Amino acid sequence: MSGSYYDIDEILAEEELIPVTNTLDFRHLAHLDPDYTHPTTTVQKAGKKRDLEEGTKFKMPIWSIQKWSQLGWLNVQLPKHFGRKAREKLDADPVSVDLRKRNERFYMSGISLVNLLQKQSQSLSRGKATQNNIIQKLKRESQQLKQCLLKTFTGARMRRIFDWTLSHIEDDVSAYTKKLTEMEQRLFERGALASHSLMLWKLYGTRRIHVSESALRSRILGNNVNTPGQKQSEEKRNAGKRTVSPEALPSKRIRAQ
Amino acid sequence: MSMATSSSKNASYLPSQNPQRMQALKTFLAADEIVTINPTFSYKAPLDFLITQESIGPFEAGIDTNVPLWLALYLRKRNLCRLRCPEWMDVENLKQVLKHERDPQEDSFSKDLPFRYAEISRAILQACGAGRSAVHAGGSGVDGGEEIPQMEVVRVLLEDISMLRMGKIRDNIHFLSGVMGRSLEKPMPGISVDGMGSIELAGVKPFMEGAFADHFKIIKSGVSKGESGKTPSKRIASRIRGSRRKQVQEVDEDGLMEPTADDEDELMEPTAEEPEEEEQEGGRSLRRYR
Repeated sequence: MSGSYYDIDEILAEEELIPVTNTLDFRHLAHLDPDYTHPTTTVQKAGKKRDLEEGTKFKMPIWSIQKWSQLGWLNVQLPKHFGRKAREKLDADPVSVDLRKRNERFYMSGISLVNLLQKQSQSLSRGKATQNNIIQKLKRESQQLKQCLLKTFTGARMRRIFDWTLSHIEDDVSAYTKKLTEMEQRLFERGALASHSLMLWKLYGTRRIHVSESALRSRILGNNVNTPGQKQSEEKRNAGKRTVSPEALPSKRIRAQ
Repeated sequence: MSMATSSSKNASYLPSQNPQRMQALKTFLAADEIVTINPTFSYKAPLDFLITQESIGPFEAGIDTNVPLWLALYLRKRNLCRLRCPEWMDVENLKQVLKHERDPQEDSFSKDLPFRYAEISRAILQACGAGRSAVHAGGSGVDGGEEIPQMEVVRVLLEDISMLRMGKIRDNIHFLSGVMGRSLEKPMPGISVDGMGSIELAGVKPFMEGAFADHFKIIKSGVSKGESGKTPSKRIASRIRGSRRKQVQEVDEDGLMEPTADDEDELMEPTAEEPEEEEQEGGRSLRRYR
Protein backbone atom coordinates (compact mmCIF):
# COMPACT_ATOMS: atom_id res chain seq x y z
CA MET A 1 0.00 0.00 0.00
CA SER A 2 2.98 2.26 0.37
CA GLY A 3 5.13 1.08 -2.48
CA SER A 4 4.70 1.15 -6.19
CA TYR A 5 1.47 0.15 -7.86
CA TYR A 6 3.35 -2.56 -9.68
CA ASP A 7 5.16 -3.92 -6.63
CA ILE A 8 4.80 -7.63 -7.26
CA ASP A 9 5.43 -8.51 -3.63
CA GLU A 10 2.67 -6.29 -2.48
CA ILE A 11 0.30 -7.73 -5.05
CA LEU A 12 1.11 -11.23 -3.88
CA ALA A 13 0.95 -10.26 -0.22
CA GLU A 14 -2.52 -8.86 -0.67
CA GLU A 15 -3.73 -12.26 -1.77
CA GLU A 16 -3.96 -13.12 1.91
CA LEU A 17 -7.47 -14.34 2.71
CA ILE A 18 -9.24 -12.46 5.46
CA PRO A 19 -12.28 -13.81 7.28
CA VAL A 20 -15.03 -11.23 7.02
CA THR A 21 -18.67 -10.89 8.01
CA ASN A 22 -21.01 -8.85 5.91
CA THR A 23 -23.13 -6.32 7.75
CA LEU A 24 -25.83 -6.19 5.12
CA ASP A 25 -27.41 -8.51 2.61
CA PHE A 26 -25.27 -8.92 -0.49
CA ARG A 27 -27.59 -9.30 -3.42
CA HIS A 28 -26.45 -11.69 -6.15
CA LEU A 29 -23.10 -12.22 -4.49
CA ALA A 30 -23.52 -15.67 -3.00
CA HIS A 31 -20.67 -16.92 -5.19
CA LEU A 32 -18.24 -15.03 -2.96
CA ASP A 33 -18.65 -17.78 -0.42
CA PRO A 34 -18.25 -21.16 -2.07
CA ASP A 35 -19.59 -23.02 0.95
CA TYR A 36 -22.61 -20.87 1.28
CA THR A 37 -25.99 -22.56 1.45
CA HIS A 38 -28.96 -20.36 1.87
CA PRO A 39 -30.81 -21.23 5.07
CA THR A 40 -34.11 -21.31 3.26
CA THR A 41 -32.92 -22.76 -0.01
CA THR A 42 -35.68 -25.26 -0.34
CA VAL A 43 -38.41 -22.74 0.08
CA GLN A 44 -36.91 -19.84 -1.84
CA LYS A 45 -37.09 -19.28 -5.52
CA ALA A 46 -34.03 -19.95 -7.62
CA GLY A 47 -33.19 -16.25 -7.90
CA LYS A 48 -32.95 -15.76 -4.15
CA LYS A 49 -30.16 -18.33 -3.88
CA ARG A 50 -27.72 -15.86 -5.23
CA ASP A 51 -28.06 -13.57 -2.24
CA LEU A 52 -25.57 -13.57 0.61
CA GLU A 53 -27.38 -13.02 3.85
CA GLU A 54 -26.29 -10.56 6.49
CA GLY A 55 -23.87 -11.99 9.02
CA THR A 56 -22.36 -14.67 6.81
CA LYS A 57 -18.75 -15.51 7.45
CA PHE A 58 -16.59 -15.92 4.39
CA LYS A 59 -13.06 -15.21 3.25
CA MET A 60 -11.87 -12.51 0.93
CA PRO A 61 -8.39 -11.42 -0.19
CA ILE A 62 -7.14 -8.12 1.20
CA TRP A 63 -7.08 -6.29 -2.12
CA SER A 64 -10.74 -6.91 -2.77
CA ILE A 65 -12.20 -5.63 0.45
CA GLN A 66 -10.44 -2.32 0.91
CA LYS A 67 -13.37 -0.22 -0.21
CA TRP A 68 -16.04 -2.42 1.32
CA SER A 69 -14.42 -2.40 4.72
CA GLN A 70 -14.08 1.38 4.62
CA LEU A 71 -17.74 1.71 3.78
CA GLY A 72 -18.53 -0.47 6.74
CA TRP A 73 -20.18 -3.20 4.72
CA LEU A 74 -17.87 -5.79 6.17
CA ASN A 75 -16.56 -6.58 9.61
CA VAL A 76 -12.97 -7.65 9.29
CA GLN A 77 -11.44 -10.31 11.49
CA LEU A 78 -7.79 -11.23 11.60
CA PRO A 79 -6.67 -14.48 9.98
CA LYS A 80 -5.61 -17.18 12.37
CA HIS A 81 -1.88 -16.62 12.03
CA PHE A 82 -2.27 -12.91 12.75
CA GLY A 83 -4.67 -13.50 15.63
CA ARG A 84 -4.00 -13.05 19.30
CA LYS A 85 -2.85 -16.60 19.97
CA ALA A 86 -0.42 -16.59 17.10
CA ARG A 87 0.91 -13.23 18.23
CA GLU A 88 1.47 -14.53 21.72
CA LYS A 89 3.37 -17.46 20.28
CA LEU A 90 5.50 -15.11 18.23
CA ASP A 91 6.21 -13.03 21.30
CA ALA A 92 7.24 -16.07 23.28
CA ASP A 93 9.54 -17.63 20.74
CA PRO A 94 9.90 -15.83 17.43
CA VAL A 95 12.81 -17.95 16.24
CA SER A 96 11.24 -21.36 16.06
CA VAL A 97 8.04 -20.29 14.32
CA ASP A 98 7.91 -21.29 10.68
CA LEU A 99 6.42 -18.12 9.27
CA ARG A 100 6.80 -19.24 5.70
CA LYS A 101 4.42 -22.10 6.26
CA ARG A 102 1.68 -19.69 7.18
CA ASN A 103 2.29 -17.08 4.59
CA GLU A 104 5.27 -16.59 2.32
CA ARG A 105 4.99 -12.85 2.70
CA PHE A 106 3.99 -12.71 6.33
CA TYR A 107 5.25 -9.20 7.00
CA MET A 108 3.97 -7.69 3.78
CA SER A 109 0.54 -9.15 4.39
CA GLY A 110 0.72 -7.93 7.95
CA ILE A 111 1.54 -4.43 6.79
CA SER A 112 -1.38 -4.48 4.36
CA LEU A 113 -3.61 -5.71 7.13
CA VAL A 114 -2.51 -2.97 9.50
CA ASN A 115 -3.18 -0.42 6.78
CA LEU A 116 -6.56 -1.95 6.12
CA LEU A 117 -7.63 -1.82 9.75
CA GLN A 118 -6.29 1.67 10.23
CA LYS A 119 -8.06 2.98 7.15
CA GLN A 120 -11.25 1.29 8.15
CA SER A 121 -11.21 2.82 11.59
CA GLN A 122 -10.47 6.23 10.10
CA SER A 123 -13.23 6.18 7.56
CA LEU A 124 -15.70 4.74 10.04
CA SER A 125 -14.97 7.46 12.56
CA ARG A 126 -15.50 9.99 9.78
CA GLY A 127 -18.83 8.43 8.90
CA LYS A 128 -20.07 8.43 12.54
CA ALA A 129 -22.45 5.68 11.63
CA THR A 130 -20.96 3.10 13.98
CA GLN A 131 -20.30 2.90 17.65
CA ASN A 132 -17.13 4.18 19.13
CA ASN A 133 -16.06 0.91 20.67
CA ILE A 134 -15.78 -0.81 17.28
CA ILE A 135 -13.46 1.90 16.04
CA GLN A 136 -11.42 1.71 19.21
CA LYS A 137 -11.16 -2.02 18.83
CA LEU A 138 -10.00 -1.71 15.25
CA LYS A 139 -7.36 0.83 16.21
CA ARG A 140 -6.14 -1.29 19.05
CA GLU A 141 -5.97 -4.41 16.91
CA SER A 142 -3.98 -2.68 14.19
CA GLN A 143 -1.58 -1.22 16.70
CA GLN A 144 -1.02 -4.51 18.43
CA LEU A 145 -0.49 -6.27 15.13
CA LYS A 146 1.99 -3.66 14.05
CA GLN A 147 3.88 -3.87 17.30
CA CYS A 148 3.99 -7.62 16.96
CA LEU A 149 5.28 -7.47 13.38
CA LEU A 150 7.93 -4.99 14.39
CA LYS A 151 9.08 -7.05 17.32
CA THR A 152 9.16 -10.27 15.37
CA PHE A 153 11.01 -8.81 12.43
CA THR A 154 13.65 -6.86 14.32
CA GLY A 155 14.15 -9.20 17.21
CA ALA A 156 15.85 -12.53 17.54
CA ARG A 157 15.00 -13.57 14.00
CA MET A 158 16.95 -10.72 12.50
CA ARG A 159 19.86 -11.34 14.83
CA ARG A 160 19.98 -14.93 13.74
CA ILE A 161 19.78 -14.04 10.07
CA PHE A 162 22.64 -11.61 10.48
CA ASP A 163 24.77 -14.24 12.16
CA TRP A 164 24.10 -16.59 9.29
CA THR A 165 25.20 -14.00 6.78
CA LEU A 166 28.50 -13.74 8.62
CA SER A 167 29.23 -17.36 9.31
CA HIS A 168 27.59 -19.69 6.83
CA ILE A 169 29.09 -18.22 3.73
CA GLU A 170 29.77 -21.38 1.83
CA ASP A 171 27.50 -23.81 3.59
CA ASP A 172 24.20 -24.98 2.29
CA VAL A 173 21.80 -22.71 4.10
CA SER A 174 18.58 -23.75 2.43
CA ALA A 175 17.66 -25.76 5.51
CA TYR A 176 17.74 -22.59 7.60
CA THR A 177 16.30 -20.20 5.12
CA LYS A 178 13.29 -22.24 4.17
CA LYS A 179 11.61 -21.13 7.38
CA LEU A 180 12.07 -17.47 6.58
CA THR A 181 9.58 -15.25 4.90
CA GLU A 182 10.31 -13.68 1.56
CA MET A 183 11.40 -10.41 3.16
CA GLU A 184 13.84 -12.13 5.47
CA GLN A 185 15.21 -14.35 2.74
CA ARG A 186 15.97 -11.35 0.60
CA LEU A 187 17.67 -9.69 3.52
CA PHE A 188 19.72 -12.79 4.12
CA GLU A 189 20.77 -12.98 0.49
CA ARG A 190 21.91 -9.39 0.46
CA GLY A 191 23.91 -9.83 3.63
CA ALA A 192 25.41 -13.13 2.56
CA LEU A 193 26.45 -11.74 -0.81
CA ALA A 194 28.17 -8.83 0.90
CA SER A 195 30.10 -10.88 3.41
CA HIS A 196 30.96 -13.43 0.75
CA SER A 197 32.46 -10.79 -1.47
CA LEU A 198 34.23 -9.33 1.54
CA MET A 199 35.83 -12.70 2.12
CA LEU A 200 36.80 -12.95 -1.54
CA TRP A 201 38.27 -9.49 -1.39
CA LYS A 202 40.39 -10.42 1.58
CA LEU A 203 41.67 -13.45 -0.30
CA TYR A 204 42.15 -12.13 -3.78
CA GLY A 205 41.72 -8.38 -3.70
CA THR A 206 39.81 -6.63 -6.40
CA ARG A 207 39.15 -8.92 -9.26
CA ARG A 208 37.36 -8.55 -12.48
CA ILE A 209 34.10 -6.70 -12.04
CA HIS A 210 31.26 -8.36 -13.81
CA VAL A 211 28.95 -6.45 -16.04
CA SER A 212 25.99 -5.38 -13.99
CA GLU A 213 22.85 -7.37 -14.50
CA SER A 214 20.76 -4.37 -15.31
CA ALA A 215 23.23 -3.25 -17.96
CA LEU A 216 23.13 -6.67 -19.53
CA ARG A 217 19.37 -6.71 -19.44
CA SER A 218 19.06 -3.32 -21.04
CA ARG A 219 21.50 -4.35 -23.70
CA ILE A 220 19.50 -7.47 -24.45
CA LEU A 221 16.35 -5.42 -24.61
CA GLY A 222 17.96 -2.75 -26.74
CA ASN A 223 19.60 -5.11 -29.18
CA ASN A 224 16.54 -7.13 -29.93
CA VAL A 225 17.11 -6.66 -33.63
CA ASN A 226 20.51 -8.29 -33.62
CA THR A 227 20.94 -11.99 -33.96
CA PRO A 228 22.12 -13.82 -30.87
CA GLY A 229 25.41 -14.66 -32.56
CA GLN A 230 26.23 -11.04 -33.08
CA LYS A 231 25.45 -10.25 -29.49
CA GLN A 232 27.72 -12.95 -28.21
CA SER A 233 30.68 -11.92 -30.28
CA GLU A 234 30.17 -8.34 -29.19
CA GLU A 235 30.15 -9.33 -25.57
CA LYS A 236 33.28 -11.35 -26.07
CA ARG A 237 35.05 -8.40 -27.60
CA ASN A 238 34.04 -6.13 -24.76
CA ALA A 239 34.72 -8.60 -22.02
CA GLY A 240 38.42 -7.84 -21.93
CA LYS A 241 37.85 -4.14 -21.45
CA ARG A 242 36.04 -4.49 -18.18
CA THR A 243 38.97 -5.40 -16.04
CA VAL A 244 39.74 -3.03 -13.20
CA SER A 245 42.45 -3.84 -10.75
CA PRO A 246 44.43 -1.51 -8.58
CA GLU A 247 47.70 -2.89 -9.83
CA ALA A 248 46.85 -2.43 -13.45
CA LEU A 249 45.43 1.04 -13.11
CA PRO A 250 48.49 3.19 -12.41
CA SER A 251 50.30 2.19 -15.55
CA LYS A 252 47.23 2.94 -17.59
CA ARG A 253 46.91 6.29 -15.91
CA ILE A 254 50.40 7.29 -16.75
CA ARG A 255 50.28 6.07 -20.29
CA ALA A 256 47.10 8.01 -20.80
CA GLN A 257 49.01 11.21 -20.26
CA MET B 1 32.72 6.87 -12.33
CA SER B 2 29.15 6.57 -13.45
CA MET B 3 29.18 3.45 -11.34
CA ALA B 4 29.89 5.48 -8.22
CA THR B 5 27.16 8.00 -8.85
CA SER B 6 24.50 5.51 -9.75
CA SER B 7 25.19 3.33 -6.76
CA SER B 8 25.14 6.21 -4.32
CA LYS B 9 22.01 7.79 -5.72
CA ASN B 10 19.83 4.77 -5.28
CA ALA B 11 21.83 3.37 -2.41
CA SER B 12 18.96 2.37 -0.20
CA TYR B 13 16.49 1.52 -2.91
CA LEU B 14 18.58 -0.54 -5.25
CA PRO B 15 17.91 -4.18 -4.49
CA SER B 16 20.67 -5.61 -6.63
CA GLN B 17 23.51 -3.44 -5.52
CA ASN B 18 26.69 -5.27 -6.15
CA PRO B 19 28.94 -5.52 -3.10
CA GLN B 20 31.83 -6.60 -5.26
CA ARG B 21 31.57 -3.31 -7.05
CA MET B 22 31.50 -1.45 -3.75
CA GLN B 23 34.71 -3.09 -2.66
CA ALA B 24 36.40 -2.39 -5.96
CA LEU B 25 35.36 1.22 -5.61
CA LYS B 26 36.69 1.42 -2.09
CA THR B 27 39.97 -0.07 -3.13
CA PHE B 28 40.18 2.46 -5.92
CA LEU B 29 39.49 5.35 -3.58
CA ALA B 30 42.02 4.08 -1.09
CA ALA B 31 44.65 4.45 -3.79
CA ASP B 32 44.41 8.20 -3.25
CA GLU B 33 45.70 8.00 0.30
CA ILE B 34 49.16 9.39 0.82
CA VAL B 35 51.98 7.06 1.73
CA THR B 36 55.68 7.62 2.16
CA ILE B 37 58.19 6.09 -0.20
CA ASN B 38 61.91 6.11 -0.54
CA PRO B 39 62.68 6.46 -4.24
CA THR B 40 65.75 4.93 -5.83
CA PHE B 41 65.77 7.44 -8.65
CA SER B 42 66.03 11.17 -8.98
CA TYR B 43 63.59 13.30 -10.86
CA LYS B 44 63.87 16.98 -10.09
CA ALA B 45 60.80 18.42 -11.78
CA PRO B 46 57.52 18.00 -9.85
CA LEU B 47 55.00 15.82 -11.57
CA ASP B 48 52.63 18.49 -12.83
CA PHE B 49 50.56 16.29 -15.03
CA LEU B 50 49.12 14.48 -12.05
CA ILE B 51 46.53 16.91 -10.78
CA THR B 52 46.21 15.81 -7.19
CA GLN B 53 45.54 17.67 -3.99
CA GLU B 54 49.07 17.30 -2.78
CA SER B 55 52.04 18.14 -4.92
CA ILE B 56 54.13 15.17 -5.92
CA GLY B 57 57.85 15.20 -6.21
CA PRO B 58 60.54 16.23 -6.76
CA PHE B 59 62.15 12.85 -6.24
CA GLU B 60 65.63 12.40 -4.96
CA ALA B 61 67.18 9.01 -4.56
CA GLY B 62 67.27 7.95 -0.91
CA ILE B 63 65.11 10.78 0.39
CA ASP B 64 61.59 10.04 1.57
CA THR B 65 58.68 11.65 -0.25
CA ASN B 66 54.95 11.47 0.03
CA VAL B 67 52.99 10.14 -2.92
CA PRO B 68 49.53 8.69 -3.40
CA LEU B 69 49.27 4.99 -2.87
CA TRP B 70 48.62 4.18 -6.50
CA LEU B 71 51.81 5.87 -7.61
CA ALA B 72 53.74 4.22 -4.81
CA LEU B 73 52.50 0.81 -5.89
CA TYR B 74 53.38 1.53 -9.48
CA LEU B 75 56.89 2.67 -8.63
CA ARG B 76 57.34 -0.28 -6.32
CA LYS B 77 56.36 -2.62 -9.09
CA ARG B 78 58.95 -1.06 -11.36
CA ASN B 79 61.44 -1.39 -8.55
CA LEU B 80 61.90 2.36 -8.44
CA CYS B 81 61.24 2.83 -4.75
CA ARG B 82 60.96 1.22 -1.35
CA LEU B 83 57.73 1.58 0.53
CA ARG B 84 57.93 3.07 3.99
CA CYS B 85 55.76 1.39 6.53
CA PRO B 86 53.00 3.83 7.63
CA GLU B 87 53.14 4.70 11.31
CA TRP B 88 49.89 2.97 12.10
CA MET B 89 51.12 -0.24 10.48
CA ASP B 90 53.86 -0.49 13.06
CA VAL B 91 53.77 -3.68 15.11
CA GLU B 92 53.66 -1.76 18.40
CA ASN B 93 50.78 0.40 17.26
CA LEU B 94 48.87 -2.59 15.94
CA LYS B 95 49.36 -4.35 19.24
CA GLN B 96 47.91 -1.32 20.99
CA VAL B 97 44.94 -1.38 18.65
CA LEU B 98 44.47 -5.08 19.23
CA LYS B 99 44.52 -4.51 22.97
CA HIS B 100 41.92 -1.79 22.59
CA GLU B 101 39.68 -4.02 20.49
CA ARG B 102 40.06 -6.95 22.87
CA ASP B 103 39.12 -4.87 25.87
CA PRO B 104 35.65 -6.06 26.86
CA GLN B 105 34.92 -2.73 28.56
CA GLU B 106 35.64 -0.81 25.40
CA ASP B 107 32.70 -0.43 23.05
CA SER B 108 34.29 1.96 20.59
CA PHE B 109 36.48 1.11 17.67
CA SER B 110 40.09 2.07 17.96
CA LYS B 111 40.79 5.46 16.45
CA ASP B 112 44.42 4.72 15.74
CA LEU B 113 43.67 3.20 12.37
CA PRO B 114 42.76 5.27 9.32
CA PHE B 115 39.35 4.89 7.70
CA ARG B 116 40.70 2.86 4.80
CA TYR B 117 43.19 0.86 6.79
CA ALA B 118 42.18 -2.49 5.33
CA GLU B 119 42.60 -1.43 1.73
CA ILE B 120 45.90 0.36 2.28
CA SER B 121 47.49 -2.33 4.37
CA ARG B 122 46.36 -4.98 1.94
CA ALA B 123 47.85 -3.13 -1.01
CA ILE B 124 51.13 -2.44 0.77
CA LEU B 125 51.52 -5.94 2.11
CA GLN B 126 50.73 -7.42 -1.25
CA ALA B 127 53.21 -5.14 -2.97
CA CYS B 128 55.86 -6.23 -0.50
CA GLY B 129 55.00 -9.85 -1.07
CA ALA B 130 53.41 -10.80 2.22
CA GLY B 131 51.98 -14.28 2.33
CA ARG B 132 54.20 -15.44 -0.50
CA SER B 133 57.09 -17.77 -0.09
CA ALA B 134 60.56 -16.29 0.12
CA VAL B 135 61.35 -17.34 -3.41
CA HIS B 136 58.42 -15.43 -4.79
CA ALA B 137 58.98 -12.43 -2.60
CA GLY B 138 62.36 -11.97 -4.13
CA GLY B 139 60.89 -12.19 -7.61
CA SER B 140 60.95 -8.48 -8.18
CA GLY B 141 64.46 -8.14 -6.93
CA VAL B 142 63.60 -6.52 -3.60
CA ASP B 143 62.68 -8.43 -0.51
CA GLY B 144 59.69 -6.88 1.17
CA GLY B 145 60.91 -7.91 4.58
CA GLU B 146 63.25 -5.00 4.86
CA GLU B 147 60.57 -2.49 3.99
CA ILE B 148 57.97 -3.70 6.45
CA PRO B 149 59.61 -5.01 9.60
CA GLN B 150 58.03 -8.23 10.86
CA MET B 151 55.73 -8.39 7.91
CA GLU B 152 54.07 -11.67 8.82
CA VAL B 153 53.38 -10.40 12.34
CA VAL B 154 51.78 -7.29 10.91
CA ARG B 155 49.63 -9.36 8.61
CA VAL B 156 48.42 -11.63 11.38
CA LEU B 157 47.78 -8.70 13.69
CA LEU B 158 45.70 -6.96 11.05
CA GLU B 159 43.72 -10.11 10.48
CA ASP B 160 43.04 -10.46 14.20
CA ILE B 161 41.98 -6.85 14.43
CA SER B 162 39.55 -7.17 11.59
CA MET B 163 38.10 -10.33 13.12
CA LEU B 164 37.63 -8.63 16.47
CA ARG B 165 36.09 -5.61 14.84
CA MET B 166 33.66 -7.75 12.90
CA GLY B 167 32.64 -9.31 16.20
CA LYS B 168 32.13 -5.85 17.63
CA ILE B 169 29.99 -4.83 14.69
CA ARG B 170 27.98 -7.97 15.23
CA ASP B 171 27.45 -7.10 18.89
CA ASN B 172 26.35 -3.63 17.90
CA ILE B 173 23.86 -4.93 15.40
CA HIS B 174 22.53 -7.39 17.93
CA PHE B 175 22.07 -4.54 20.36
CA LEU B 176 20.25 -2.53 17.71
CA SER B 177 18.02 -5.41 16.82
CA GLY B 178 17.18 -5.82 20.47
CA VAL B 179 15.98 -2.26 20.85
CA MET B 180 14.47 -1.73 17.42
CA GLY B 181 11.23 -3.48 18.16
CA ARG B 182 11.03 -2.93 21.87
CA SER B 183 8.80 0.08 21.99
CA LEU B 184 7.43 2.67 19.67
CA GLU B 185 7.21 5.33 22.33
CA LYS B 186 10.75 5.60 23.56
CA PRO B 187 13.49 6.93 21.30
CA MET B 188 15.83 4.31 20.02
CA PRO B 189 19.38 4.54 21.36
CA GLY B 190 22.10 4.78 18.76
CA ILE B 191 25.42 3.04 18.41
CA SER B 192 28.76 4.65 17.84
CA VAL B 193 30.43 3.82 14.56
CA ASP B 194 33.42 6.11 14.96
CA GLY B 195 36.58 4.56 13.68
CA MET B 196 34.90 1.81 11.73
CA GLY B 197 36.78 0.89 8.58
CA SER B 198 35.35 1.43 5.14
CA ILE B 199 35.63 -2.20 4.11
CA GLU B 200 33.95 -3.27 7.32
CA LEU B 201 31.11 -0.92 6.54
CA ALA B 202 30.80 -2.39 3.07
CA GLY B 203 30.52 -5.84 4.58
CA VAL B 204 27.45 -5.08 6.67
CA LYS B 205 25.96 -2.22 4.72
CA PRO B 206 23.66 -4.20 2.41
CA PHE B 207 22.18 -6.09 5.32
CA MET B 208 21.71 -3.03 7.46
CA GLU B 209 20.19 -1.06 4.64
CA GLY B 210 17.75 -3.80 3.87
CA ALA B 211 16.90 -4.29 7.51
CA PHE B 212 16.24 -0.61 8.08
CA ALA B 213 14.23 -0.29 4.90
CA ASP B 214 12.00 -3.18 5.91
CA HIS B 215 11.84 -1.92 9.48
CA PHE B 216 10.71 1.42 8.18
CA LYS B 217 8.12 -0.25 5.97
CA ILE B 218 6.57 -1.82 9.04
CA ILE B 219 6.78 1.40 11.04
CA LYS B 220 5.15 3.26 8.20
CA SER B 221 2.21 0.90 8.05
CA GLY B 222 -1.03 2.25 9.35
CA VAL B 223 0.33 5.77 9.53
CA SER B 224 -0.71 6.77 6.04
CA LYS B 225 -3.50 9.31 5.96
CA GLY B 226 -5.97 8.85 3.17
CA GLU B 227 -4.14 10.14 0.13
CA SER B 228 -0.72 8.95 1.21
CA GLY B 229 -1.76 5.45 0.31
CA LYS B 230 -0.97 6.43 -3.25
CA THR B 231 2.27 8.19 -2.38
CA PRO B 232 5.00 6.99 -4.70
CA SER B 233 8.04 5.65 -2.93
CA LYS B 234 10.13 8.50 -4.26
CA ARG B 235 8.15 11.08 -2.36
CA ILE B 236 8.39 9.09 0.79
CA ALA B 237 12.12 8.86 0.31
CA SER B 238 12.50 12.60 -0.05
CA ARG B 239 10.40 13.11 3.02
CA ILE B 240 12.57 10.75 4.96
CA ARG B 241 15.69 12.66 4.05
CA GLY B 242 14.32 16.17 3.99
CA SER B 243 11.78 17.20 6.55
CA ARG B 244 12.33 14.54 9.10
CA ARG B 245 11.08 16.69 11.90
CA LYS B 246 7.85 17.45 10.14
CA GLN B 247 7.21 13.82 9.62
CA VAL B 248 7.74 12.99 13.23
CA GLN B 249 5.13 15.56 14.15
CA GLU B 250 2.80 14.01 11.66
CA VAL B 251 3.31 10.69 13.29
CA ASP B 252 2.76 12.22 16.69
CA GLU B 253 -0.64 13.45 15.68
CA ASP B 254 -1.71 9.94 14.99
CA GLY B 255 -0.60 9.04 18.44
CA LEU B 256 0.81 5.84 17.12
CA MET B 257 4.48 6.21 17.68
CA GLU B 258 7.00 8.79 18.44
CA PRO B 259 10.49 9.47 17.38
CA THR B 260 11.44 6.02 16.22
CA ALA B 261 11.69 7.20 12.67
CA ASP B 262 13.91 10.06 13.72
CA ASP B 263 16.31 7.80 15.48
CA GLU B 264 16.39 5.47 12.59
CA ASP B 265 17.69 8.29 10.48
CA GLU B 266 20.40 8.91 12.99
CA LEU B 267 21.37 5.30 12.90
CA MET B 268 21.29 5.16 9.16
CA GLU B 269 23.88 7.88 9.06
CA PRO B 270 26.99 5.78 8.86
CA THR B 271 25.64 3.74 6.02
CA ALA B 272 23.74 6.44 4.28
CA GLU B 273 26.50 8.99 4.35
CA GLU B 274 29.12 6.71 3.00
CA PRO B 275 28.27 6.72 -0.69
CA GLU B 276 27.85 10.47 -0.87
CA GLU B 277 31.30 10.99 0.36
CA GLU B 278 32.56 8.52 -2.14
CA GLU B 279 30.81 10.27 -4.92
CA GLN B 280 32.72 13.42 -4.12
CA GLU B 281 35.97 11.62 -3.90
CA GLY B 282 35.21 9.79 -7.06
CA GLY B 283 34.65 13.08 -8.78
CA ARG B 284 37.97 14.28 -7.54
CA SER B 285 39.86 11.32 -8.85
CA LEU B 286 38.08 11.65 -12.14
CA ARG B 287 39.23 15.21 -12.46
CA ARG B 288 42.73 14.13 -11.77
CA TYR B 289 43.00 11.97 -14.82
CA ARG B 290 41.26 14.16 -17.27
